[in-house]
Amino acid sequence: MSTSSSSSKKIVLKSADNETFEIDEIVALESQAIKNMIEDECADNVIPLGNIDSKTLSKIIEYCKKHAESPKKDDNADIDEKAVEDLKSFDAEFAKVDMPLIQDILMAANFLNIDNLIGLMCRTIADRIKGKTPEEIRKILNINKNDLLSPEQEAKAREENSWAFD
Amino acid sequence: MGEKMDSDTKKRNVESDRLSNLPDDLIHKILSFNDTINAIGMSSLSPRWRYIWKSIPYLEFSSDDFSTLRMFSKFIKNVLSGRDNEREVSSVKLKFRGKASQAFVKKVIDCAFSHNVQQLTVTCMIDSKVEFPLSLFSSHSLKHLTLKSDYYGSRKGSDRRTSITLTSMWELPALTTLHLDEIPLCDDNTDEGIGLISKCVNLENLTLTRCRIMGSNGFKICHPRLSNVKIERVSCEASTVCLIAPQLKNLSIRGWLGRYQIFAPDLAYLLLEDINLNFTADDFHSLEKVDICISSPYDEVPFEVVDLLQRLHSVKSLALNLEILEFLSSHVEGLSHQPSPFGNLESLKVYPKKVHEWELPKEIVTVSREVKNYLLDGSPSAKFTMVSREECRLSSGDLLQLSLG
Repeated sequence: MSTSSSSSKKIVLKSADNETFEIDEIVALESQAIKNMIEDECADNVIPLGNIDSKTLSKIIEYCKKHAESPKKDDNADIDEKAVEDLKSFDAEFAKVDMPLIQDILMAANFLNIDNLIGLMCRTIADRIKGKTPEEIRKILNINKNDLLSPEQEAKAREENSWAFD
Repeated sequence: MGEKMDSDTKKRNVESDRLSNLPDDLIHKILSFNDTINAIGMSSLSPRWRYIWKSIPYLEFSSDDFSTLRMFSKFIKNVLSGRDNEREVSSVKLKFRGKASQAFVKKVIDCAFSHNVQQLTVTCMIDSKVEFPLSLFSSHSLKHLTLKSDYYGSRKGSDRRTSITLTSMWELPALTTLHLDEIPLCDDNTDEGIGLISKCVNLENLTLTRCRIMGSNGFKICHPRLSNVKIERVSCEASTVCLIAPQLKNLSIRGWLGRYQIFAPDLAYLLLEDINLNFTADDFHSLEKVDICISSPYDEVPFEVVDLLQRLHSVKSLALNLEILEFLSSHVEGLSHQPSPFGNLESLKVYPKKVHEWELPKEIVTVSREVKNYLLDGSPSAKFTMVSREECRLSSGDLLQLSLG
């Protein structure tokens, strides 16, 4: 993968479909879960991620790389507005993927505990369902057909909340 | 092949609604980006989503979603009584038109504060003269407050009959971040002991956007803990803004009409963009990075530009727009007996703000050796980069990238 900073420590991640990804430790530290593993010294050379497929994992690594490279914004750091803008447009591009992949990334980001990425995926989902009818939202979110309210329940739910939509 | 498709489709169907298997807090987070009314609309999606709105710790109400204020008020009442009151409320956004004395305003704010809310955004869309009693805001938990006014039904700012007036005073001891947007600030509010800003004893971040400073005594921000201040498009044509903040690290001022006095000895980062140079400041001891952009310096007095640069003598990384250097080059006589102010400079970047011919004055003076010497003589090892207009035109584009990169 990356050829830069060859002196830095490497971490290998293994996806559910047995693909391995060698990344700089600094990139892996974007994940609070991996960070904790490394700090507790319970991370082996290879970290298996049995519930994340390689397509999702490579997207997540792309995200973490970019965010690891960007200067962190904390109270004492300079307000580097250009870097903030740059990261924003990266995030916007990054989120232009289909809903199944967004859901996969969100689940994986939740598992790996990558706070910014969780926020980005949640916002993306929210933007896509905003102002849509329940029927459209079911389609967008791919809500299982076997998991709907019965017509009676649905009527009751509408009745219960009718005050909100008078 | 057909078989594989089948199993893929099947797999997809079984797995499809993994979103519903997410923990509540993630579903809350998704719902937090839209209005509360949207969250309630989701309750007929599936059993998983049916009651989820009752436990969301984020509330967002906007009277834009309702045709009458009475319906808006009824909606708020129903949400507040229908939600699970045991659940925390961490963030509340309220956007309403009409008077601030309407009962629902107090109801929402009371609900927020009784649940130890941390983040509150209140947007007041005004179409007449509105008084806003700051005594509504009394909280020991609130950390982030945004107070914004917006003009409703009239052209923005054009109608003097619409205005918002802040009355009484708030009690916000835990507040760390305050953003005032289009809120007129009266000099009455700025007495050191009892002022709007100094009343928030733990304030660290202050942003003033499009605020108008009223009165002729000027606006004084005097705060021992402030660390980040942004002042954007604030107008105070006749008076002075005085900023006294011994702990200030980051300051940016954009589009400023008026004078300002700054006391911030520990400032590390300074950005000045399109301000006039009526600027007095005490010494800055340890500036890391300064970015100054004056797109039309031609009306400035050269002495004031030099005076500003002299105040920045401790800076390590400096960015200036090319037009400033061109302007100084046409007034080199003022520089001839000035020593180079910068002793710690590590990098100097110069970039054009105006790229196209039509934006420029008829005669452009090329940057002279005297000006370069003036800037760089004190730090001969500093890295000097200058982006020309031709380079900008060639790369056809991202000015921002060039300018601050």
